[in-house]
Amino acid sequence: MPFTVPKERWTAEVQTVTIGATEAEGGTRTSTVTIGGDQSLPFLHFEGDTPYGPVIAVEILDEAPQGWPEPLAEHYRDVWGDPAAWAQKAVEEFGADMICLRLASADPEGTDASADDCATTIRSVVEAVGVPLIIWGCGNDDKDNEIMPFCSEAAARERCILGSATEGNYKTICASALADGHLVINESPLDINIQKQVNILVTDMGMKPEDIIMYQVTGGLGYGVEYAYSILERTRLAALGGDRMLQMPMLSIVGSEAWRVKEAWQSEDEAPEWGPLERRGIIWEAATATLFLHAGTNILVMWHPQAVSHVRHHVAGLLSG
Amino acid sequence: MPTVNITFEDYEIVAPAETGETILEVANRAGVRLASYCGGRGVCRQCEVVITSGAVQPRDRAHGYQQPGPDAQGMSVLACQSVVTEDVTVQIPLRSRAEDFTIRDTEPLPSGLVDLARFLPISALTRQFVLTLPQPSREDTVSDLGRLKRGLLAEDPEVEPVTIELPVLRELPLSLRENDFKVAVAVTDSGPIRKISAVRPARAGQSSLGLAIDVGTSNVAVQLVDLATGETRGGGMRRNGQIAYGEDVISRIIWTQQAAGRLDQMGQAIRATLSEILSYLYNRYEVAAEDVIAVAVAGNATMINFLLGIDSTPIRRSPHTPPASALPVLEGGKLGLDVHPQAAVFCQPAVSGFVGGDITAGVLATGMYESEELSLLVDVGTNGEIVVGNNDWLMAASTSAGPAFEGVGVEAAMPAAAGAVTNLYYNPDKDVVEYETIDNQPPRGICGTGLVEMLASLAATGVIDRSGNIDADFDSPRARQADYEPEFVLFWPDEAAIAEPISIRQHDIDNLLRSKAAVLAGITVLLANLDLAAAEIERMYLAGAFGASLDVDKAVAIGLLPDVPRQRIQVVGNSALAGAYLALMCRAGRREANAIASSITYVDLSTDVRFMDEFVASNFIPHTDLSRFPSVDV
Repeated sequence: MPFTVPKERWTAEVQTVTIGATEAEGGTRTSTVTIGGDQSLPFLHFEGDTPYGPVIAVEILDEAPQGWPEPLAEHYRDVWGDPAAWAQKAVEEFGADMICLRLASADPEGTDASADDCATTIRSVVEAVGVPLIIWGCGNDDKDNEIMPFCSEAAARERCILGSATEGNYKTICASALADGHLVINESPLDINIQKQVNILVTDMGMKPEDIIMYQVTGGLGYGVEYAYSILERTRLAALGGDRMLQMPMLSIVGSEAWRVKEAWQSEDEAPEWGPLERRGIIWEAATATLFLHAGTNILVMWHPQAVSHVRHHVAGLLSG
Repeated sequence: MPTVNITFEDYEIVAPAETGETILEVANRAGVRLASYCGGRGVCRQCEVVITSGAVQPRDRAHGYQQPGPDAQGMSVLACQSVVTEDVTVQIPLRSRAEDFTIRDTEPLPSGLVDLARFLPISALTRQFVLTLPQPSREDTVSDLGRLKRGLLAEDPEVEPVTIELPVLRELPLSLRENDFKVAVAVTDSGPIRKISAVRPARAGQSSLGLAIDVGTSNVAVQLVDLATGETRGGGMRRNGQIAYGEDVISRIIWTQQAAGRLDQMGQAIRATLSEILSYLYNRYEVAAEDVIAVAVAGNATMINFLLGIDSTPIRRSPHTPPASALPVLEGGKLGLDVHPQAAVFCQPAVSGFVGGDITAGVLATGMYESEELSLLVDVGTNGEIVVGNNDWLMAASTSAGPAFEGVGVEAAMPAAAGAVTNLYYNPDKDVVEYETIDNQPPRGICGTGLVEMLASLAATGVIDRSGNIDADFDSPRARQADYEPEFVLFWPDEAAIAEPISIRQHDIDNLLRSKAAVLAGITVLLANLDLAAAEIERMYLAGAFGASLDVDKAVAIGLLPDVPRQRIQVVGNSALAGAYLALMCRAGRREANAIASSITYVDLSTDVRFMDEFVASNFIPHTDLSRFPSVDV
């Protein structure tokens, strides 16, 4: 008796979203990125199309990072402190599809850089690279509300993604995105209901669903990532099931979360049984990224160039069926 | 121990204290009532006071906190965490003053729920027979008790079988002879056998009275009832004095476990509350405690336990079993109630640890257990309880709604009394809040009904978003940043004849939303357990903290209730008190209450994996899944 592969039939698909605007579209990007359109659970080609596949954004900081382990630091030490150079290296040498610029220097508990300083940084990165940008604040609500209008304006009409809108703080960032033609990242504390609530709040502000990217705050491998997987998978299932308010593409932060885990950075003297430090963090980051790929994420935000290349290879294999 | 003086400025009271005492302890002793819901553990942070001169020491470093007071005057501290070591002067901000324990008249019993015709013949828990018995003679040598029974049977053959207890029998011979065999006999219906509970002199115009009592976690209400006719003389209510030991049942149970003698103290608190209400009623309606010969009580299992002095620890622990479901008929004197010592006390039977006699009473009063219609009863109190079913089956669940809709923990709230805002509507064009109050008095606070309308109106006008965030930049001076959080001023002092504005703060809104989310999630998950959709509910009763003036449209608009056709929703008020009244007046009512309690199946939502998910989804106006609220304009 012949075996028939059981197939799910879905009625809806993930929203297709294009990031970045070329000259023809009013911006200055030399390339744009399109994601979404998925018609099935990730990579189940026999059930539905995956027209675009996932993309990788390399994350850079606007100031020199503190305490990065050597296997990571060695690739970036020559450029950190110069975000434009860092962005260029990430694109030209490591093949980043996008740049995710985190404005760490704005943190009032750290450098406390001004809105003007941040805007200047953004202009320099916009000029330095042609790929689309993700611009992320420092994580302090009040300070981000202060700098984001200036940062948004500094990249006006480039169709960047601004991060992040939360349930308790979304108005300023949405107003900026609406004014300057950007997308916005809607963040939720690993809860599918709150994700949907933020999406509704933000669309109530006038943002279009196709200008929204969803982000669940997840940890790295070893930090309860199974639960994160189930939340992302449920979100994709809801999208395929026709829930308009959960059909936006998803973004996952991989680099900073994976490298936070002890196994990724502890020295060989402290943990000889874990094997060579130079490979551990890379494997940890690649494994975390792979897991989110299979859960249905569309944008991976990563750090290490070799982890990026491993994941890219894996994605190529998955997409070719 | 050296003694120091604590000056409570606002009250012009100077209270002596021993070093090492907390300000809260001293205040309680001095009769200065501070808000406190956690039993002085430094958790609820309600008892904040300002030290304007002198200094205090933190009792527990983890909880103690000091920060500059308002306008940088003095230091702001928690009274329960501040130990006195020297003379200090204390200011008490309005928001830290205790709940209003004033006794208020209750609204009349909800007329639709207290139809005695459902349970004819009327047969009160204790019936009084005024008898003139023939004196014993050579021809009639029957015993005193036999004589009494003969007299009773002549009045009502149904009194048999009837018995008497030793203390009453001991007094019987003297009582009969002192009163020339003209006596008022109280006969209590304590189950299959009746009991002669008192033999008293017959006086002209003597009345036999009873009490219907609802012991709620936050509010206690009493109705004074004429047992012969079923007419209510009047009713009174006030906050439950146990609130000082915790605002919900769990924190009160924990409080009783923390030291010996506290279970007693908890019992005394409810007796004191009842005693205040009773003396108010007795004075007002010129009634003697002696004449109150029957009491029917409805309350959740923990409240009944505290009244009876029974340890409630098992209710707190899984599987949350109550010590007893149906209780025997008890004696008022033994419970320390200000009624006739032998007055009969009937407690509405509980279904489970968290679905108590108040709910049995509600089911009894609504009659949903007799109807073919699929009905849902939601009682929004400090616990939200939900019953669904019809004349074939009933299922119930409990959800910890919290006391927000009863006004506890919401600064602008007050009970439904004169000056309470029942209906309100914010008009952004004129920037005024249009309102109605009870007795048309100037607004003094918002009652449960008004809180629902307020949420609906603020959401509809965009003052709050669907998550309940107050928009501090909203185009009105009413929306502003308060000390630590945004607030919306409902009434300015000149609009309300008050000293300080009445406003709603962010944490008030958050509390109200969590309450409504718990109720809606409870309904949704209970129905999901039965594979029922809300649309299949043919009748929905909303009981508890809401008055009949509530616009049910608003209750649906904020997602307190599921979106069903509005004519199916009926706001019934205090159904627990109505059920207690029916049990007080009707034998069939008492029998039905026991049958209802044993026929309801309890569903434990705390072990249902769907509950938390539904709760978060419901913590939104009206709900995260808007398709479930098709009739709500969003």
